[in-house]
Amino acid sequence: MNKIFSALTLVLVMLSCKPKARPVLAAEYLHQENGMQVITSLINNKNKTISVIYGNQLAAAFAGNVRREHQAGEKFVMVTSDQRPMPHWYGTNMNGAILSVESATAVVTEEGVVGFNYMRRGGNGKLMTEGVDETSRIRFMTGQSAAVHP
Amino acid sequence: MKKSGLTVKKKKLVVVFCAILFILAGIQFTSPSIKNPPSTSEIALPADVMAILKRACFDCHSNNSSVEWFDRIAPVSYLVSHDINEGRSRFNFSEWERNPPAVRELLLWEMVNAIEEKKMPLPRYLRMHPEAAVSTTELEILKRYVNTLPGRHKVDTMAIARALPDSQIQQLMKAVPVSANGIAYSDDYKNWKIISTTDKYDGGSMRIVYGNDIMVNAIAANKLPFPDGAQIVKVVWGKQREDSLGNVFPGNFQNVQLMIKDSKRFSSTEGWGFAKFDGLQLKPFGASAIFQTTCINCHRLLVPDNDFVFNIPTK
Repeated sequence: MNKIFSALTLVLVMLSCKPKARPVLAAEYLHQENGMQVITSLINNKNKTISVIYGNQLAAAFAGNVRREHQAGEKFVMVTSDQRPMPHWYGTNMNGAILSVESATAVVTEEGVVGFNYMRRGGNGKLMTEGVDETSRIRFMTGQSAAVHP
Repeated sequence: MKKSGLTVKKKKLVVVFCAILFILAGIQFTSPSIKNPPSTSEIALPADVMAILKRACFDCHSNNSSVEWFDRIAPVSYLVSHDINEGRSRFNFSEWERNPPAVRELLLWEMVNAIEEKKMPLPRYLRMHPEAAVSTTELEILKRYVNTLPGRHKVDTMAIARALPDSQIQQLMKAVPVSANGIAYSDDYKNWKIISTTDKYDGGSMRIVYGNDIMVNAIAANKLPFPDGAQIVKVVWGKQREDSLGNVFPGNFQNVQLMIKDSKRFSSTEGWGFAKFDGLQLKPFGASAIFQTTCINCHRLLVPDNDFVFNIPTK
């Protein structure tokens, strides 16, 4: 019985053979932050974006509530990507092209307090300065709690 | 001489024809019978959704298989019987409550995807049963329906459990959790590169998907299928309520899912080994290695051209 079924299946497969629709992988959607760890991710359905916030060890310690005060040397990086439907599964959205990479690095200011140097680049690496409210962006990206990992 | 040659040919044809008839008649005695056991808990659906699924899916995925006369004749009956048995084993609308509620929802989303990807109804079934085809308008009805399911709007409102007590962490450090198929948990992924970030709104979760160097290098080189040694780790959280700016942050940690490529070790599941570790305790999912079959069934159906992986970045 199994032989009959296998023979039938083989015939049907041969009759319905069509070339594979091999996808093209998009390495440009990946972002590397050497020496940094993931603090959290976020979805924004109003802006149709999806982001990941990275931090160095000091930044991760702050986000993990180990410390209450910011400290010079903390570095936060927020990578924001376009949100797109995941191919082959209606019910999931995923990251597409990188739209911006923001960084905030804590330094001691001339007044002797901890402040942040902020920078924003586009997905193409070009510096973006127009229309950026640095203070609110710094507050946002440095103020998120770390997602819980086991 | 010519006449005699034709006669020989004719005789041969008659012999072949008779042999085929004899074989066809013979296999009718071993032809599988297709039975419809009683329904124990038929799925309850809105009338318009039910009408579509009854017409397109019930022949193979319910105990109400409506079999045509030609479906009962061997060798076709072997194929029909196989498809019905396979269909019922994947999910059965007549025994719907055998599935846990979360699985029922996932199955309904999977059905929508299988139809959208034109994997279901099976093309060979559609050739004989064109009335089972699902139109674009009908697919939209199904999509609207799955978007009303509870998981679609699930928000994690529980206080976020930050970490295990020290005693439990120490216990975890002593005994590394191991899945039933032998895959051990490791947190090496924390040093890997993120290959995708997802909003799985069908079930109210969000994920970060990591790839090891072999996986990332394969993506960079546009290399498919992925080589042995490639590994993927999905870290899954619930979703907190959306804030006034539209931001949604991770809620409670739910699980870690692993996919490991080893074409020899996991040959029965297209070369991929699957594992899932639930909760902060990282409890291995699945009492036996059979759970891998559930994983690969869906991956095999929907992403065979992606080397059976969903979460890869593609153009």
